[in-house]
Amino acid sequence: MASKTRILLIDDEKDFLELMSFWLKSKGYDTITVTNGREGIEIIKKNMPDIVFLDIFMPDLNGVETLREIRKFSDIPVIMLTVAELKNVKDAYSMNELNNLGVSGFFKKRDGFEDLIKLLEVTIRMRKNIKK
Amino acid sequence: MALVLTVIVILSIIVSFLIVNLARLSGHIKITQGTRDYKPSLDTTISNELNTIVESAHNKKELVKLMRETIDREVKKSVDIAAKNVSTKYEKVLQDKNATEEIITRKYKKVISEKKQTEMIVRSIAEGLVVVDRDGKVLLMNPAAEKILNVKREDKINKSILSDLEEGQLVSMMKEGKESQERIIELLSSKEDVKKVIRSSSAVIEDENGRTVGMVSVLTDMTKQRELDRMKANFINTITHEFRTPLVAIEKSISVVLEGATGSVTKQQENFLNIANRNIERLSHLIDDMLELSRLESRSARPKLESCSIGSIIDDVCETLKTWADSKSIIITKNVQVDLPNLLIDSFRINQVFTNIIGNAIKFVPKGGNIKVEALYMRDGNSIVASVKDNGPGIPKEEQSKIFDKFYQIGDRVSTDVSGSGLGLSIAKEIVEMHDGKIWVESEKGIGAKFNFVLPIKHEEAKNGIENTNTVD
Repeated sequence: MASKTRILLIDDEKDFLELMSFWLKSKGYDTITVTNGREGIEIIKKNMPDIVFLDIFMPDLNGVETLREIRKFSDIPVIMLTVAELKNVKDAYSMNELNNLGVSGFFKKRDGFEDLIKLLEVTIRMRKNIKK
Repeated sequence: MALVLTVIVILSIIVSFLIVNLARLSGHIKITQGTRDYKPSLDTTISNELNTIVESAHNKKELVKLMRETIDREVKKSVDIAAKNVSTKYEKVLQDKNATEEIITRKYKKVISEKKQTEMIVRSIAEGLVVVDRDGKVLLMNPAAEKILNVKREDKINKSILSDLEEGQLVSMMKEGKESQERIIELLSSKEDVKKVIRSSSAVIEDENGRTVGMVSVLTDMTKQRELDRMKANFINTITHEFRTPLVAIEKSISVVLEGATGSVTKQQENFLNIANRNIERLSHLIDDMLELSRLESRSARPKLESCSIGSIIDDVCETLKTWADSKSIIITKNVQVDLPNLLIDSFRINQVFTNIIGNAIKFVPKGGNIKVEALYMRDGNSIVASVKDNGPGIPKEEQSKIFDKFYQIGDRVSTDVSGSGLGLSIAKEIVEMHDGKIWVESEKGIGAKFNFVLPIKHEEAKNGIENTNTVD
């Protein structure tokens, strides 16, 4: 690994944020954690991370709203996190909109972190291929 | 000799009697009667004869008179009787007539009062009632309907229900369709900003020849109900999030430790952490099932209909459950009729139905058992029947009606290896009914159980009739 992949974690659940951050660091990733969408947007503007993990269900600015804001200035890969079943997310938001917003993938928080890392690696690899 | 003598004596007496009488008639013998001397002469004889004639003439007159009197009396008597009869009959007829009139009046009054009563009932029922004729002209509308539709009855009677109603609000209600049907109409009145949700149950009115003469619609204002449903859905979604978030945190914390990311873990620590994990998983499932069920019951979750093959759903479910079935050496066989059409169903939820039923079968069937999954056309050709048959312990007759109840576990089986939320079949039932289907079980204790459910074959148009309420959790 040439340089560590920098991951921005946006989730209002501090415990989960801490767990995820700890796990990712133990696997050799660099993480930045924030507890709301607005802070996350500022971080992306200032200090471009490689990828964003964004929780869907958050007070104030929710995940989808945050993503809309991000897309106004950045095409950074974003993986959406949800505690819900994916079908409920897809019920609530039109898949069309989510696709248009360029969501790289969905991660169910209940699934194992290994799955998250797989998703992360695939996303980053694809991004590199596109950039080449 | 004596006899001869006697006869002679009698004969002589008779002869002498005759001679005396003859002599008297001819006047040769004078007979003295009592003290008076009777001297018959020609004169007296004539006079006597005359007298007799006169007397008899007189008698005739008397007789005629008497006869007349008798006849008169008899006639009068007959007439009297006849007259009396007639008058009795007349009176009876009169009485009958009065009675009939009374009955008619009473019936009329009854009809009127019943009509009034019916009108009163129609007026006072909380549901809106609208009756329209074949051309959609309003014949009857009760105050509740006026209120619900926000129109005045006077403005509507004998007019088309569609005239001056916004955006063809009731067009959908009037669309033809013979069977009684239910629709949800969303109505945005120009006078109010609130969107009203009205449920309309309509039935076509037919005359005795089966011709459509109109339609009756019962309208129910569902606005508040809908609002409550929405609130409940929101509540469930919030609860779901609130329940799952801490569980996920616990689960993940345990995983991180188990993984060795925090340092090495002893065998014993690993054992207990695994117990914790297993139970968290169980709790998660229970919460998932409860939330799913309340979502289904609140009808906040509507089926997301899409055309899909029941065969592929069965394949998916069997694939997912294969590892579990294999672990108990259970053989699952499939029999899906080849020419089944695609169904307009919520594939995710129908998947859930199969998962719950087949999962149950795997749970209860002993090691090395058999499970047979089938999907066939129903005989009527309008629906598909799916079934899951196992050779497990079966379900006693008296429990068969209860197994679809919430939290029901056969024989209070709670603390055996067979664990579950007790909600799987309730969820399956809700889902099947949500698709206008039916679910039931056939079973004999000791032989096995067969769960069946029927799904009607729906066509694309049906999709438009069902709205989607979006939910998020």
